[in-house]
Amino acid sequence: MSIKTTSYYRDRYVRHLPTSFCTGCGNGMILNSFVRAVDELGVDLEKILSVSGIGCSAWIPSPHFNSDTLHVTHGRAIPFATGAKIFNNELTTVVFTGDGDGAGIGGNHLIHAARRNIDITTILVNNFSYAMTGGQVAPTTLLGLKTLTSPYGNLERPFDLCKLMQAAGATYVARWTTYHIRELRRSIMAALKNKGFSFVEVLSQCPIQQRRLFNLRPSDQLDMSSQILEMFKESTYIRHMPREENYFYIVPKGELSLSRRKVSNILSENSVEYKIGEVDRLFFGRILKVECRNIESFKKSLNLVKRFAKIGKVLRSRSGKIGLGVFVSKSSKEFTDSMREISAFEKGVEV
Amino acid sequence: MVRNSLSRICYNGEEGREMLAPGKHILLGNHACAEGALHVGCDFFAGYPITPASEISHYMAKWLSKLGGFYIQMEDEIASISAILGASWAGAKAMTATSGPGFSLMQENLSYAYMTETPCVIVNVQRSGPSTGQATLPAQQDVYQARYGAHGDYEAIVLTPWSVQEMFDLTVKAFNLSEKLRNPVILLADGAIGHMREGIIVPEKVKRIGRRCPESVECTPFDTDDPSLVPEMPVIGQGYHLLVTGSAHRSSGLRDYTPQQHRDTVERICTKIRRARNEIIEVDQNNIEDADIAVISYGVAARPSFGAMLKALDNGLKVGMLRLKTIWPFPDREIRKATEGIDNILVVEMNMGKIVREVERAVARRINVVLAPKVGGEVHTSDEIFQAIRRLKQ
Amino acid sequence: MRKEIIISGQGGQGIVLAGRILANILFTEGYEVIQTQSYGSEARGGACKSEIIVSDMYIYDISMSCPEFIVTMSSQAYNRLSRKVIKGGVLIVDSTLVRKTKPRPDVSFYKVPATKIAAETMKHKIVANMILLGFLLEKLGFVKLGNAKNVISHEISAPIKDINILALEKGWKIASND
Repeated sequence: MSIKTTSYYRDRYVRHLPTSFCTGCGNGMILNSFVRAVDELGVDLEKILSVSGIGCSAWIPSPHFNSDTLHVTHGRAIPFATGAKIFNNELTTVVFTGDGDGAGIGGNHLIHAARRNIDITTILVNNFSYAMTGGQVAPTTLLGLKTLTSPYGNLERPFDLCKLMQAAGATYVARWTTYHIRELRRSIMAALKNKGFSFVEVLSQCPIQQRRLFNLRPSDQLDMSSQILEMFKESTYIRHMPREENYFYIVPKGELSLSRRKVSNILSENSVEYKIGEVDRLFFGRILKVECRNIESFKKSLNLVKRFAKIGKVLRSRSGKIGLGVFVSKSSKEFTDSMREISAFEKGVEV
Repeated sequence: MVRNSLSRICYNGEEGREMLAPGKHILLGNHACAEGALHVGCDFFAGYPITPASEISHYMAKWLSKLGGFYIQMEDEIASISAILGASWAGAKAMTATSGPGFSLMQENLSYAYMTETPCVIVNVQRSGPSTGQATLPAQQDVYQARYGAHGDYEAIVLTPWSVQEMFDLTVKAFNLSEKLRNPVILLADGAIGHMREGIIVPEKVKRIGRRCPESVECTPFDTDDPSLVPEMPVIGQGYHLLVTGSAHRSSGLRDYTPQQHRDTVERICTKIRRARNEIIEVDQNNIEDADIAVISYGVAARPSFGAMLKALDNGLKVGMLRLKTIWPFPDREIRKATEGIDNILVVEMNMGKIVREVERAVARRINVVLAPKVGGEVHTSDEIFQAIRRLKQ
Repeated sequence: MRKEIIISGQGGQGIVLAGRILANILFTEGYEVIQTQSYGSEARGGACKSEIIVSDMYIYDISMSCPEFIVTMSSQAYNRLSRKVIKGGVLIVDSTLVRKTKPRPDVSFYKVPATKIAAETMKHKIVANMILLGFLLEKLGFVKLGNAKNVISHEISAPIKDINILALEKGWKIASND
């Protein structure tokens, strides 16, 4: 198999350049994953229909993806796609939506499409706010965060969209982040292959809005985009992988660098081989991460535990992290197939 | 094999086919509308239950599948109009039916349909409003909403049936105009005509017009040199690499925010309808040449208006009637021409006075225009209108 | 010629069916017909009404203003509508269900124990509506019984077709003797 270069993908699958994305936006990576997924599956380009609403994620297919694209009204990509798919169910129908477009104004359509199990793949790009319009609070914004429209802190709990989709009846549900780019590509492939409603949530970086949203201190080493990707890596775990046990976190009560020194002292005193660093975590902000090989040994040491507890809250490797992976992957009667069976029956034609 | 209405009377002695046979039938207004859609080739319907339009959905749900079309009840009216627009781009002749509250919900996507020049038919079986109002009682209160309800500049095509026969005929016309002009068309019916049963004649053959599809994939779906100003319309899934967007766009569909391009687009989508007004506009004239008084009406209100005209003629009054079968684009030229020798105009409508304003504008103070309104859900009686005509004479 | 007819009663009595069949009969006879119906908020047990306008010319006035024939199958319907019959018109009540009536010397007032007849002679009191319809048709004076029977046999499905036709004939016969 020959190596496929960027120009192979670009010439074949991309319609319009340069992109309208901000520098470092996760959308470019998602477009990339989608293109590679489509290519690897060998889907007929002429039969792909991409539908998107309004928001940054809606610009992933339109105008960039070189096939039929419908750029529609805010929140309504799914019912547009439903109409097109019912009429021509040979189309590989993909909806690109965001957390606001898909789960806010479009929420009703999302759950009904899942309930119907219509063969549409929905890729929902979750950047935790209405980014395009300046960063307003959204149905996935974390509790307590300050945004333009929640200046005193968000009072509403965010959706767990994958749980919602599972409950609504979607037959393929997965969540990844733009950090987990290869898993994302494979999930998109599985979603496209699934004959039924497929839902892929992608936590994605927005270097413009998320700095303020997550209160991230810009670092010297990394650009904001990469910093957010690191945060995604640190704030998530992959469900089907074995739990890692060689690190833990401390959410310091006091000042960060002071707490770091205290922790270092404690560990040195006890002759533990360790590595300590500062990481950004969703929900927690900037906290300490301690990696050491024989963590089991001092977990049993009550003394150490007590001393850490004085410095801050100790988190185990998966505590407070968002689960990634495939939540649902099953097969069920697809909606447009059922419709056609009825049509055929009513017309007296053999199915 | 043929079936007759939903009662199983078989005038042609046969039973079972999917569409009503040519000939006389007694039919519910809403059913006649659906039947017209089936005859003209409608193959996709998405709707949501609402009184007094639900019967259209029920009929389509039952008969569309038998003809190879698709029916779906969506989760709300916004989803309904979204689905028909998506299906239209996939090649369907698509339709939805609703009433006032649902029609209000559909306005945003109606604006999208105007901007993207997507053919579709929307039936609004008007009920008394505002808001929930009286679901089962008719009105003609949505005439301006049908024209201006969607945001932006565009030209609406709105047809107003006055009988069960026209529920059939004007639905056929609605689809044909929609396909030909690549514009949404609104059938502005009402709960009275929708819910009454009356005799109709189903014609032998119904004219079916389809949209023009481009031959080459190098096409401009959003501009044309054709004098009709209606571009060819590609279909999803055939290699056209469609770019459809509600944003201001250029001929290829690619977003283009320059003032020049935006102006060109808006001017073209308006002009294409204005240019076609002779094809669209239909005004029924009766006794106008000899008349001093003209009664102008449309839809259900025109029914008793006609009766009142006959009564007035019997009483020696010189009365004529202009019945508007289409209210938008407004037939101002036709009205101006027809009323050249007229002294008084009586406009009869079931609202607080809407089309009367257009009539006033059309005749530009030359003629005395009086309104005979009726709100509350009851249709005018011929006698009421006759009395109003008499008062004009005094 | 223009005649306005109202059939009214409670939901579940077959008012709507009777109205529809009447409209179909008049239609097949070649007349212009407009038929509407209205329900109370509950389909069963709520007030129910079917209105028919028949004419030999195209009907422009689609509102009821002078009902000439009124059939009532419940006291509620009778109380609301009995005064609306125009002078010289026809008022038909199901006397089994409508007990208290006031005299109306200016109309032809017929009290038909339709529900009783239906229960006793036909074993199904539900066909009381057809008995009254048959009675009404005879009084209308311009409908052929054969045609009416034909319409019913197309409208109503096989198992209960015959009994409905019998009920219609019964009503017609009672009317012709009255």
